[in-house]
Amino acid sequence: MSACQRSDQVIHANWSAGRLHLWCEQAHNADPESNPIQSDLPQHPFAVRPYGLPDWVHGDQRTLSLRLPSLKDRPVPSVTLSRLTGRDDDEDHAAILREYAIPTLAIRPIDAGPVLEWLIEHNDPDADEQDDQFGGLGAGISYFVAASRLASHLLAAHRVVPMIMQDAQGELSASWWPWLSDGMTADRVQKLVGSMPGVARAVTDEHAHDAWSLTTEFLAGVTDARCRATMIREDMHDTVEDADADSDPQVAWLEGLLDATEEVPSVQGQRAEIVRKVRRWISELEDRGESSNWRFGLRIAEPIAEGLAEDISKPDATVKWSLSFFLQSVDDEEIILRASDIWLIQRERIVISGLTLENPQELLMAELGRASRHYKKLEEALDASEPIEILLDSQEAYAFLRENKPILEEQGFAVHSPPWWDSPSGRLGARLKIESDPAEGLFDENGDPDGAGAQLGLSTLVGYHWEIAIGDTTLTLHEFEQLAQQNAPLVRIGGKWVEIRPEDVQNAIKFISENPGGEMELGEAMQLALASDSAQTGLPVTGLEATGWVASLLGGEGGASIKLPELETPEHFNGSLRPYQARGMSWMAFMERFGFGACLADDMGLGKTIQMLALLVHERAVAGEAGVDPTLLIVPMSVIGNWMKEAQKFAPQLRVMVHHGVERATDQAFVDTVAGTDLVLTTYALAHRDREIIDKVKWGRIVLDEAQFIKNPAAKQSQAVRSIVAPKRVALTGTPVENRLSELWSIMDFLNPGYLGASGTFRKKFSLPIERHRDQNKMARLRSMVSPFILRRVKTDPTVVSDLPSKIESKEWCPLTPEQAKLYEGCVQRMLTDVDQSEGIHRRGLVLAALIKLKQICNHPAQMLKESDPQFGKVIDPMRSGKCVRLLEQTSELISEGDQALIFTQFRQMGHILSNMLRHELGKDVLFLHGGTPQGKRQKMIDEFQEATGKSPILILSLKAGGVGLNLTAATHVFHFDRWWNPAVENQATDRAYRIGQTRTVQVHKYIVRGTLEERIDEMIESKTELAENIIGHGERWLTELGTDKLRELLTLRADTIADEM
Amino acid sequence: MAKKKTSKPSDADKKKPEAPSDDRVMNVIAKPTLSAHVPTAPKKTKPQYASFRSSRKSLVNPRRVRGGVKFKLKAGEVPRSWVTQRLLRVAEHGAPADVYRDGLEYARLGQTKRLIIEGTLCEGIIQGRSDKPYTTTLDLSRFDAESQERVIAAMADQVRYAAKLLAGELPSNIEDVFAPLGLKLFPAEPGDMTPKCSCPDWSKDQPWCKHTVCLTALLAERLGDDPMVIFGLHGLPSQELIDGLRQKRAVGVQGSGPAPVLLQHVPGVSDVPSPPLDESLESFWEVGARLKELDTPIEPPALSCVLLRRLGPSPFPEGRFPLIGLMATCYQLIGEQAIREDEHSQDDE
Repeated sequence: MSACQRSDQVIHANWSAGRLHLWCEQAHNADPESNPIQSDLPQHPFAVRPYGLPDWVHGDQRTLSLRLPSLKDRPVPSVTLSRLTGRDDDEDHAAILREYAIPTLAIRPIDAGPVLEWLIEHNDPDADEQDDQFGGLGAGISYFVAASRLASHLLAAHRVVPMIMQDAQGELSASWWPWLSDGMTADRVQKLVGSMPGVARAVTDEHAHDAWSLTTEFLAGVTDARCRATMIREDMHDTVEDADADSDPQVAWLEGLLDATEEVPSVQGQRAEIVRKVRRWISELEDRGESSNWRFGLRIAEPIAEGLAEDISKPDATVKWSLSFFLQSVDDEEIILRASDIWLIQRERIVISGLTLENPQELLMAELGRASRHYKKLEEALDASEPIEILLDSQEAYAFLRENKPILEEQGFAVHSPPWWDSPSGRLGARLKIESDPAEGLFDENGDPDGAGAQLGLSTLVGYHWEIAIGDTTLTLHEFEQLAQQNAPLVRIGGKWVEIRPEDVQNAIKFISENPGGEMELGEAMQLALASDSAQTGLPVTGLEATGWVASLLGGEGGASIKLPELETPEHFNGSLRPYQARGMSWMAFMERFGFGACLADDMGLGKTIQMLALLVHERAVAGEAGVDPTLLIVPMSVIGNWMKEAQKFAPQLRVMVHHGVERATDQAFVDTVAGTDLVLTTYALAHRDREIIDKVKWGRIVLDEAQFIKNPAAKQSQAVRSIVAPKRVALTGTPVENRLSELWSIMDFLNPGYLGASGTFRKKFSLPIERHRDQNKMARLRSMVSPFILRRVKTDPTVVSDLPSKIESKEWCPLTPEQAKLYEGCVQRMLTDVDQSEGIHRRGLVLAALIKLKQICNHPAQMLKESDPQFGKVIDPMRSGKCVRLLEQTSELISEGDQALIFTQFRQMGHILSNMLRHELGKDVLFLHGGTPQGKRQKMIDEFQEATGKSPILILSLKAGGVGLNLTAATHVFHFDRWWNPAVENQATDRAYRIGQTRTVQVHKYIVRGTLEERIDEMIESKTELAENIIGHGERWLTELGTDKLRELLTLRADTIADEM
Repeated sequence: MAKKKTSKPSDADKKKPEAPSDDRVMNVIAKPTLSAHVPTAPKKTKPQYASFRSSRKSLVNPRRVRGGVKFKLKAGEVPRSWVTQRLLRVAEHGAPADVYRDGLEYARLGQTKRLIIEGTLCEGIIQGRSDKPYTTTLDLSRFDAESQERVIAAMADQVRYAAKLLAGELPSNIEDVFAPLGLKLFPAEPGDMTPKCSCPDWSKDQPWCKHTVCLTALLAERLGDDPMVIFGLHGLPSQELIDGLRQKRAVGVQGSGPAPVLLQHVPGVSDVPSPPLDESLESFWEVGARLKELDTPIEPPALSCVLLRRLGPSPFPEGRFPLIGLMATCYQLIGEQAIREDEHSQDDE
């Protein structure tokens, strides 16, 4: 067992007999001896008890019988395991269910939550130490984690009831029972139960595969265990220690709730009575008048304004609020019958807009009676013969709004309150005012944009003061103190009623006296105003008001609507920026001017590279003679070539230096060379390894491309990158960073160190609530904090879409890995030797064969080496091919944007390699359509792809199969993984996606490996010479006619194009 | 308590002004008044049963009945309970399409003057076109003593079934218990029922007439509300069943699980049985898409102990212990602890 690693396992979870059972599948057959079971059923051949769990996990060895899909008397591996091993699961649909005995580790309910969360923590596929991670988690884990989180939610929200349980012998016990029937909870439960995967209910036990039954029992088990643990921890049992259970059934009940024992000591005769009373008591919660088509409602209205003073700091008893009654149709909530009208109705039945109401007066009285059980004051109304309303003074009105309204609503009544109630505008709060200079004239040449910019940023001191505000009315401290002395929860200010919570009043006075105003750092101010808990400040912070450039910074979501001076395409820029690109460049310039790190997070294909290059050109034009310190650009190895090509094309005047490869400059030579450059390109790996020499340079700016590379804040590369000193900081990324919180933190901390706090605090405050619990409030707060620093445009933005062409073609320049380079050179050498010694057809044959090999090497070494039969074989490592690395980066990015892609290759075998690789790496179904795909399956694949459910976002096609008649408009990206060298053929393929019916911009990515024949051929085609004509149409045949020297010249690799490591 | 619903009126009453004319023009062959059988539900709802769709020229012109028992399900609506669905399907399979349609129409119109479902008897007095109403009955196979014994034993074995049945509810997978015994609890095909009617259309070969369909529909709806009735129809009164279960379980199935004294209902969830596992192979290994939408914020409630407040005073007014007060403290502790545990859960490692 010690030889086995966590990474070989896929863990599953099931609930049975009051325990959470963990078991795992592994890629190879298990040794039944080491996983003994107790069952007559056939043992699952590759299931074992999980290993490598932490010490604190205590479980018992058990055996569970599960009905699982199987084929030919063997269970089919789970989808997760199939992806891990690269198995083709095409035929699994033919499976039938069979029952297997499975060895499990049974976890007690109290530990279920922590164990499940621990498993989730240790299944981050992006984590650095792979051995520490599990190979995958089954859907059952995801399900029970969600259920366990729901249990936590219920406990925190007090949504449990004390329950009496009875067994078949009539014995009573007590339990803390999750209450699931109410509106919001019922909604959540429905989402949960409806999502239960088959595997999670595959156990053969008394639940008979029923999702509701299993789920409630899981929730009940976990809830009871956790409540009980709290009771024990708090010694609650002591409270009934002296009480007598015999004479008071309540005490007997509590005996079963407050301690480890569930038993409710009771004498036989009492039991039926206890059961009956408790059942009736709890059933009150279900008595919500649901089967009626009409709902009773109460409307609380402000006192009539006429004759009332504008400001009332203490409403006296003559100020009356009215609480009137009505009936409301459940089907159409617009239809409301007021009590005053109901008493005028003479008939037994009325019809309103097609809805019938029987005996309205009787219904009104009955419902009023029901409501009065939850709000005693309504009993007054029952005495009246035709009750219409009751009157409340301000204290009572407040109590009604605060306490009775929610209860009545939960019991199924409608309660209408004035719009200001429970809205931020109706409540007392603190507002922060920040003053700064206006944002005009930032970019005029006589300023000193660099020098000043470096001084600002989030640590700039800004003037601020706090105001007490209610809605949009600001109060002076004196006014407020006067109000506070009145101790009235509802007051009238400026003609409007507002709520002043007694607890807020004290806090507000304390807060204002402790925060008299003055100066503080901008970052701190923003945190206070945008992300503070009322727990910190004591009262809600209702807003932030700023003037000057701070207002511009906070101006709008993503800075997109900031009013800032807009720059044009720089004069010496070799191309023209689209309007949104000019805005992007201006925004980066603005952010840098005030010392903020900026994240440009536009969708793939919108031209982040171009915007960055334009900014470099612009700042040099502005600085003129003074010069600008060089920019350090850190990129993944896979895109170095792209940057070089783009810089050459759009900004040839920029002096670009590439720092990578074994022959890269060291020590002083590096510093000297850098001094004469504008842009230095290097990789994340080297930024860490060559940190010492990098630190010796005075950088003007540091830019991270594909900034999600530093998503793991603890990784050495991330730390190294964050510590490089530069006054200006930019991050470029195409992934929606706001949804990946550790990534977001890491990038923000690079851009604006400290702004989001330490990573641990951030995790507690934001990541956990948002990622685990989808806490919408926290998400909104975080978004408001980071949005000033992130500019993200998506392809569908109306401001962008009009600027975009319908098709964007780009070349992706990929490097060779050292392995590829070695194979490539070997192949070239062998060919050159061989062709020297042969002639005619034989020679041509040799050249052609070698060329095919070279293309295969460019694709992936495994293709040329025919390493495995990929249809059944293991997954090929993408890191061995520059193209594959780039493809993975781009596909995962486009999937995260919700897009779909076609990938074309000439080689069927490469298609197999890619489909396995992508399936494994992306965790998605990948479709592969080739010449040998039967017609029926072909159509099924196409339909599945066109449905665009997000389940199979990638379709690989062999170029020939993708020829005729296919309409694949669900794709917005087309990849040409290897080249046909015939634009007509490639365009025809591209047109599968870019054709009638396509409403979105299609991006075409043509993959070319730098330094190889692929690049040479591309150059020749681009040169549009006679030779180009030859190439187009005839493929590589012309090469065979070349002399050996020419061949050597064409095919020899350039050293700087090889990756040191990916 | 407040559900003041009388059975008299229903949607059909909206058509009231036209209804009386039915009686009068009954024998006039001219234009039939379609009002009686035009579906009253708006067309937007998808019809579930093919025969509901064609409300074309069916001419049910029975003598109308006042205060008859009506089938409540509107045309085009899908029955809530699977039991109701099942019985309707049986009748649909048994009867010719037009007979089925007309029978349902009879049921909706309330042509049933009397409905008796008691013990093994299911009988309806149904008014058709002729002067005298017909007597219609439905019979299910009786479970003999030995079968009864086996049914009780099989259910007692299943903790969940027993708990639900003891609480007066029918577990959704109940039929799985009967199948291995070669018994059918709910009819699944026309042959599982024996319909009889005194009308001239009825014969042994074609036992499905309008009236038997009408009666089946009413039984279907009744069973949907109270499925326990089915045991009685098989000759096993539900009380006997429950007593039998009690006895059996008391005689010692080991590990009999305690069940809550009140089972909760979550409409649309607790009353919807899971699809059979065999039919879930496509998505066997994957959670449903809606799980992504499940939010579980961990925060204190806007109003503390809201359930306790709704429950009101202790169910044991005679007891002197301050139960509710103590409970409120417990809720506070439980809520705070849950928040604390969530915040600290990553520190465990």
